[in-house]
Amino acid sequence: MKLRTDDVSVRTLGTETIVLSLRTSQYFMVRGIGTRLLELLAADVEVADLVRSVVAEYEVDEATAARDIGTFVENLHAVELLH
Amino acid sequence: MVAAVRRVVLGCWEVALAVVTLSAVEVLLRTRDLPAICRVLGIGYDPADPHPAGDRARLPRRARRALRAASLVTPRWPGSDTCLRRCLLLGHRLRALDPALRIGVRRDPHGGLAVHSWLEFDGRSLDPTAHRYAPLGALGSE
Repeated sequence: MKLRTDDVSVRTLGTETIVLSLRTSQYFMVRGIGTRLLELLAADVEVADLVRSVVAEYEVDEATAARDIGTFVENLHAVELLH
Repeated sequence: MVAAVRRVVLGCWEVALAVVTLSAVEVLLRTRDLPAICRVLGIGYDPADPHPAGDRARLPRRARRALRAASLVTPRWPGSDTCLRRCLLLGHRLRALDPALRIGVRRDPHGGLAVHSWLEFDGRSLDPTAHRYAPLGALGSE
């Protein structure tokens, strides 16, 4: 899976990233680790890759990371931001 | 006298064109995505180039009629007078000047998010408030 980089415009303000979907003209705000996940999703990755990266970079256990990242990815799919 | 009549007729013609263009913009906003709308209307949109707004654009005299017509029509437009509609109208009417659409965001004083769009000509903004906004760009282009 991969972020639809051709269809989104982004801007990071402090710890928040504003994402504009050019397909649906909707805005989304992503905070904290979500900003890092968007960066990782610029490449073609799997949920397991995201979990590995987050566990390595942040103080979070694998189960929590997997659950939260799964929800995050589902939300991105729901708003058509992922291939 | 003839010159005055000519000015009025051309002004009315520009207003009529603005109404027709805004009607088309309404349809496009409901049926196409933003890059496609910009392509159809002859407006540049390059999210990979999110440079900050430059100095105030100086447009040729011939652009004034379109600017006046946009100022006349958009505030009276049924539904909403948004910066994006104004940009798409003006960008199309001034497409011979190679306009580029920019979209930016900023935090307002109350902590909310403000989103704004503006037109640039040769990197110069038509909107004096544009420098207050951080332009949106492609992922990794900031």
